Amino acid sequence: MRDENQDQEKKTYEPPRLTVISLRPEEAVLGHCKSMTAAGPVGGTCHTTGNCQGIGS
Amino acid sequence: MSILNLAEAHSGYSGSFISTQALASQRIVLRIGGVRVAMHGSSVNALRCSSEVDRFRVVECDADLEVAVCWTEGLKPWNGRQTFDSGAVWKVFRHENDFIFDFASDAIGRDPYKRMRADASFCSARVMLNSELLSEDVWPLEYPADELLITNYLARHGMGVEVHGCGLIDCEAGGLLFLGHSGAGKTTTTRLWKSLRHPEILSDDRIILRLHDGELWMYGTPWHGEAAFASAASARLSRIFILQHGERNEMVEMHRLRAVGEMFARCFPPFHSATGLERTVEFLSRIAESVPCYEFPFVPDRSAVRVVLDFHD
Repeated sequence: MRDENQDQEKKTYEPPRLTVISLRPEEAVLGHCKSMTAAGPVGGTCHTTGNCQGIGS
Repeated sequence: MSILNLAEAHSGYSGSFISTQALASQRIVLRIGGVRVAMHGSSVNALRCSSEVDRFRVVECDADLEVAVCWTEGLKPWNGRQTFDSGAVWKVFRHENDFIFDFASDAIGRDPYKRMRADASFCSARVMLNSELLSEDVWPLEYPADELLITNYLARHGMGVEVHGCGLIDCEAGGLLFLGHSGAGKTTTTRLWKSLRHPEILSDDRIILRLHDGELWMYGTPWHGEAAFASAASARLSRIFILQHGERNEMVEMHRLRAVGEMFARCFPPFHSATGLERTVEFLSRIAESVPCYEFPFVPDRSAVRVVLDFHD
């Protein structure tokens, strides 16, 4: 019986490696105040919303 | 006069959110990140876009995503199973198969000023605007509703991802994408290139990535940063740079797996959806298989631009 995987190229084994990636959840969630496109109907005066996280570019 | 029956708007309505009545109303179409979003409202004035979003309007065409807009009084906080609180102006709830986004700001009241209800596929949504809290000239998909809709649609279908980065099209180098956290140098990079090369800037802060026939493409978005660049243009990418301030200019190619992680850290995934998260990671993995990704420590002067122009994989 023919092995279905016989013709597939065998991938080179890569050992597991641990890499630490720095996440910034306060930047990854949409809607926090941005300098030019602040969220919501009071975007032009975002200091009144209490939501400003000081996120720039 | 609303385009939808208000009783229906408050009910546990399921199925398509676009009624025959709504389809007979005014309609405009936006194209953001290659996703066509049709908005249905009672009048053209009710669908007036902000200046940034207006650049993304296209002629009437079929849409990937249909959005009905209506006004209502007495919108109260959704009393259901909350799945995510952004900590900003929106929270999301699940009801049956639908996603319900409530938008509220203490600055104008405790009740939601807007509710956006999307079906599980994010192909159909309804936006209910609270007439007690909003003025009539409000853009119904005001940030971040527009961004939530597009990013969730892309994630749900594994079709793309929005990333934190500046993208530009240089007449010599073609499409260039620089990813970066806040403070990494996106605005600085945008201004440097703008002053030295006069490229088309797609965005100085947020770019949508898509794959077409195995090729990576970037799209400008209306959601700009400090430098306020927003363009509806798109460009093919051959590589991705990840910005950070450095003592000298240097390009270091990343291992594919690390590239996926670093891109994930600079994207806007739907944290409320396990499926959306999984498809986002899968999509980033496909990107990393398509193009190389480089760490790019840079010094903020013209030498950084020259290094990129002279760079070859």
